[in-house]
Amino acid sequence: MSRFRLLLSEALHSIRSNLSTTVAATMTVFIGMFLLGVCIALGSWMVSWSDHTKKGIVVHVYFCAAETCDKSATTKDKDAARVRINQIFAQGLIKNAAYVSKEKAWTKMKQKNPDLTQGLRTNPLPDAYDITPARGEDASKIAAQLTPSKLNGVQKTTYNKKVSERVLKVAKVIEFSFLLMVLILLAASTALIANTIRLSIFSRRREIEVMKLVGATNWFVRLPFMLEGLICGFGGALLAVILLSITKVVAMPALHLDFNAGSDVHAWPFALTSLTMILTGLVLGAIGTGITLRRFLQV
Amino acid sequence: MVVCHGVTKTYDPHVVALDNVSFQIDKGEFVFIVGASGSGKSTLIRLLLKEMEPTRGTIIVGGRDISRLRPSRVSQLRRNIGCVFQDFKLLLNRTAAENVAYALKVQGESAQNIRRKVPEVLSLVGLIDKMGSLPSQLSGGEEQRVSIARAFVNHPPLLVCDEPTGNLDPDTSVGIMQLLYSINRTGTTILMATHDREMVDKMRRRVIALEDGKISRDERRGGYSSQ
Repeated sequence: MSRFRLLLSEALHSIRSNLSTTVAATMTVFIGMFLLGVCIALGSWMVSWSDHTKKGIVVHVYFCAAETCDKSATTKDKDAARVRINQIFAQGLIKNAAYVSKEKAWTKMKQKNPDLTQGLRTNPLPDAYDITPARGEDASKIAAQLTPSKLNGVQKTTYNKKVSERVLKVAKVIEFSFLLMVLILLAASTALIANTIRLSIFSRRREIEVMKLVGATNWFVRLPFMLEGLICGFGGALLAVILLSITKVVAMPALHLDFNAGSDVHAWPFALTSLTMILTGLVLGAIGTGITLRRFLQV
Repeated sequence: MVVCHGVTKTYDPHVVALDNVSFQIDKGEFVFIVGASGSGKSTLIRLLLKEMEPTRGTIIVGGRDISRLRPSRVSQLRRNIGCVFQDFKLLLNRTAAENVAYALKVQGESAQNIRRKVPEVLSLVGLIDKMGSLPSQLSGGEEQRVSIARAFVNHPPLLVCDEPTGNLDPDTSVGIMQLLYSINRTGTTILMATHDREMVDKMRRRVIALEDGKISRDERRGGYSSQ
């Protein structure tokens, strides 16, 4: 315990002796971690939103009706379609498939758009299957297996292709940019901590020399620097968590920023984001210090 | 206590700092290493402290071949060798007592022992009333005394001094030499690299002279120059 106290006091002594550099590194970690926190919050919200949007993608398989084809789809055609859908379901591509009779579709239509259905004397809607893909990306694969050329009695197979493709593209760009930004921030923070420790080693070279001469073990020489790096990382991350919580509680309501896009669209819980930031700060501190100690502190 | 056998140190293919140096120093001896600048004195001391490795040869300190010492055991070796340098190597932002205590803390000594040993050793070097002074508030001689106190606080069997009087005036140097002599009388072996001709001639102790990295003279009771 007294040894740990000594190491901690050495680390604090080191921090005090090059306070400006330590503060600079902590501030950089703070900015980096704050941006990381914002990235996590926004990124996870966007990923959740894109998942939500992807869930809205539905493949419609419309059967032939007297109004649309020469010949209406028979029960045998519909059974064949059901068997095919079951096969695709077995492949894990389909989350849910529902048969929607023309009567049911008409009732839904009347409820949804009463103005459109008012003037119509007969029901022009065909029987159909509404298929929800397991993943939005699978919509095209599912549609390709249920085309009129592959199934008798099917008039057309559609899915909101343009919307879904745009959503998927945007989601991929968001995910990639999010990842790239986080990686750049992590690398920058690590490099800055490494540089701080390097300066710290330089400013304490006399102490290091004396430590070695009086018989300090390698770990005794290294640990204060490790602690200094960890304190930098932890301090920066803690400040970032505080600022992020102020932003969440004070700034967002004041700016009337509303991210409500559905009950299932949400960012990571704040506690998890904070924990990730703190752990990342500590890991950055350890990695940054480790790199510098390996390169510049041969004991 | 110290055995060097065929020790050669080459810094690069063309600079030979020590060339096939062999000698033995017994326990309790006081030995001067003399020679011109660049003759290899400091290299010899750095090899003894295992700050670097010899190119060839063996160095035995306290019965142990230090070239075979694992890196993790180097700290143990250094705890048994006190070091005193020309530039004192004191921590400038710590008091005399803290500088001495630092050596003990680093070695994991208990707070109780530190409280007991630090005043003891500072009293031995005549600085008990300067315990709370920073190095900037001490004279050169006093700084060197603190440095000796730090080196001796653990009572190491070997004290290695590299030009300990190099920065001091003759009167102060005499005081430092008297202190080292009294430490030697407690049984501590002292190996001292020096340029101080007057001191070597006055003390009449064993002298090992180095010239271009080779031993040119090893006299039991010698002077700075050969007679």
